[in-house]
Amino acid sequence: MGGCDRELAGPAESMMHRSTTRSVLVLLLFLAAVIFLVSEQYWEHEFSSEDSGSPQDSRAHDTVPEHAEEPNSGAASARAMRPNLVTHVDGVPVWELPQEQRPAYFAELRALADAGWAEAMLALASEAGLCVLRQGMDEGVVYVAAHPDYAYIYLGAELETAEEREAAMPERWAHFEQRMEEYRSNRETCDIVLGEDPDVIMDWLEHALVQQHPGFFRALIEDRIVPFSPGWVVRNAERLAIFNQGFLDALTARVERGDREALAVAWKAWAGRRFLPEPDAERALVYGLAARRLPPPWNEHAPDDAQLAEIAGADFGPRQRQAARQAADELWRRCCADVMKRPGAKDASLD
Amino acid sequence: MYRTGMARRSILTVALVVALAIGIAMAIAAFRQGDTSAPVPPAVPAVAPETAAQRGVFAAEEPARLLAEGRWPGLPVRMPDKGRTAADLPDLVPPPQSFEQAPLRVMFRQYEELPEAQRALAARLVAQRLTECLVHKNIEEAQLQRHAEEAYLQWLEGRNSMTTLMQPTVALRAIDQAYSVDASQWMDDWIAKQRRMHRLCDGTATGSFDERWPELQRWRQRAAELGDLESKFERAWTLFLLDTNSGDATRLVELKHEALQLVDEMLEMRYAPVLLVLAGYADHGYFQLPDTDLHRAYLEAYARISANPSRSSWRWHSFPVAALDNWLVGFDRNREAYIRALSSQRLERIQRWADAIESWPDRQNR
Repeated sequence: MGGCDRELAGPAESMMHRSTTRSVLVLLLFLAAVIFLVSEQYWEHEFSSEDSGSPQDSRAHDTVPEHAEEPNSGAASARAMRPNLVTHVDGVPVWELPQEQRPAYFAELRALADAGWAEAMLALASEAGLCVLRQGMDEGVVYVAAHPDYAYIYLGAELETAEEREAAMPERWAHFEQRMEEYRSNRETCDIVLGEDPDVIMDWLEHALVQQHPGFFRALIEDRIVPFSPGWVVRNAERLAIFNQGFLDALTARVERGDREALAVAWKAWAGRRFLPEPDAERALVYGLAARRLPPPWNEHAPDDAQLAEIAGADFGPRQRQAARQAADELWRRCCADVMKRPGAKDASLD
Repeated sequence: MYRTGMARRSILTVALVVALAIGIAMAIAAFRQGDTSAPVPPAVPAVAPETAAQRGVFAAEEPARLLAEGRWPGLPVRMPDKGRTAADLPDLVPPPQSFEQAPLRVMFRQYEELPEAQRALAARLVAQRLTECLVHKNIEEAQLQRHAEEAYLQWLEGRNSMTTLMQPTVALRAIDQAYSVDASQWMDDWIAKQRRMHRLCDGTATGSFDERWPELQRWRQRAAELGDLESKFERAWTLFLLDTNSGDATRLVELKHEALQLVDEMLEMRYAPVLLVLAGYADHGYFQLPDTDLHRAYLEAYARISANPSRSSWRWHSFPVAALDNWLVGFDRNREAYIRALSSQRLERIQRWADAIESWPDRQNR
């Protein structure tokens, strides 16, 4: 009977029980879903508001912080094209930012330089050169150079009394801490600029030579783009030898085509030892004389009389000077006379 | 039917519970994820990270095996042992005593008349004389006193320039000390040295240091090619001291080949000073990235070997060990400092490589 009752009562009770259970479970599920959605939105809101407070962090995300969209917000606004890569700040390319604003964008400049962007390479060159020089200096070297126990032996430490040494210690420790902090800071910067491989500069130079973007020849000739650390130069000598030849060949071709910017500075490449083991005075003179015939503002880079005399040196006789003048005339006719007028350009003269 | 209904209910219940658990788990996960992705400023490393070079051969755990294979850290090519011994060195005969004392002009002339066996050491002597005369200026006898006074004042200025960096009271003491030197004695000594150098340097090319340097290097190279180990060392050490403009690249490529050839020959002879050359190459990064720890490892090995020359297979041959002691003055002072400054991991690697280099076996023992 009981069994039968249970059986008879079963469907109704069961229906009610099932309905209650379902309701509770649905409610729980609903609650869980609400908790999930609310928590998602909460954290998203929390982090997006934290992110927007730091331009550096905002660049690590695809999203652009809201205030970056506001026109004339006062602060420079950087907009990421893709994660970790800003190319412009308030409309100014990162490679054209003033020197003091560039450090914040070294990572961008490095990424662009690695991608063969010559303007970025040129903007990064001076800092990269410093980092090459710092390569041989680790914290052990800085430690010896600044630690109170070691740094003062050449500064009369043996002449100090115990009291004098004691009195000087606070200042010396402060100096030590400052030097170590500078070292760490420089190290962090150089990790961004060059990473672990300072020879990446050679890659940049080779890419830039292929592209020959405007300003490349002048920058290579007038600025210190190629590092001058002996270790770097020796280590990269094989590639550098090929680069130098390629650079001079490309420069010659540019001059022959009448490229004003190239002609304006070409004489300097042959007058110095940056691309050649010994200066080539004859060629430097020919290019220098031709450069003097360029119109302003290009002729501002041409050699003046004193520079011409210095290039020629004492060994240059009248016959060689005459030959240089004729060669310069021929070069000018060949490369430039048809494509350039020379309003107000002064006469070239070696005398 | 009932059982089927029960089963369905159970499945539905389990499914809902699982869904609830997943929902709660996702909520917790979202919470935790948010927690860990909070921006954390990067910590400034107390010890600088390793360079790429430090992770190369120098980072290896088995330095002895690598050395046996001719893989010396800091060099771009292997230096396999070719089985030569000191017996393979040419017999170098010193030139007559008079050659060593002669003025440079006479040395140049006599060199051509010397027998072949004497030329290696004679060329080394000429190179040494050219080194002494690199910055020598010929001064007329009548002008010597005036130049001595100028030299003395320059010396004093040099001493005093350091005092600007000292504490004032210490600086005063240092100045007192400098002025306590007998000026006339100092100048007499200077003049005597000038007269001696005037005689010995007679025949030096007139011109600047830069113009004299190539001649000195030619004589070093000549002596090295004739088999003088000391000149191989001097040449290898000085190959890249000057003329490292970017425009010199083509010539530097040739010099790099020569440097590796010289190092190979010195290693073959177990010639201890080569370790100083390798230390310098590692420091400047001529062949691989600069590596101060590798520099320290080579110096550490050399310092140990020079302290106990008989304990290792390394040799100095005719080179007096003490002649290179001054190379270690700075290192001895700095050793204590770098032990305090570097991490135990880096120190251990330096010691491990120094051990392996010091105990690099003689070929008879391998």
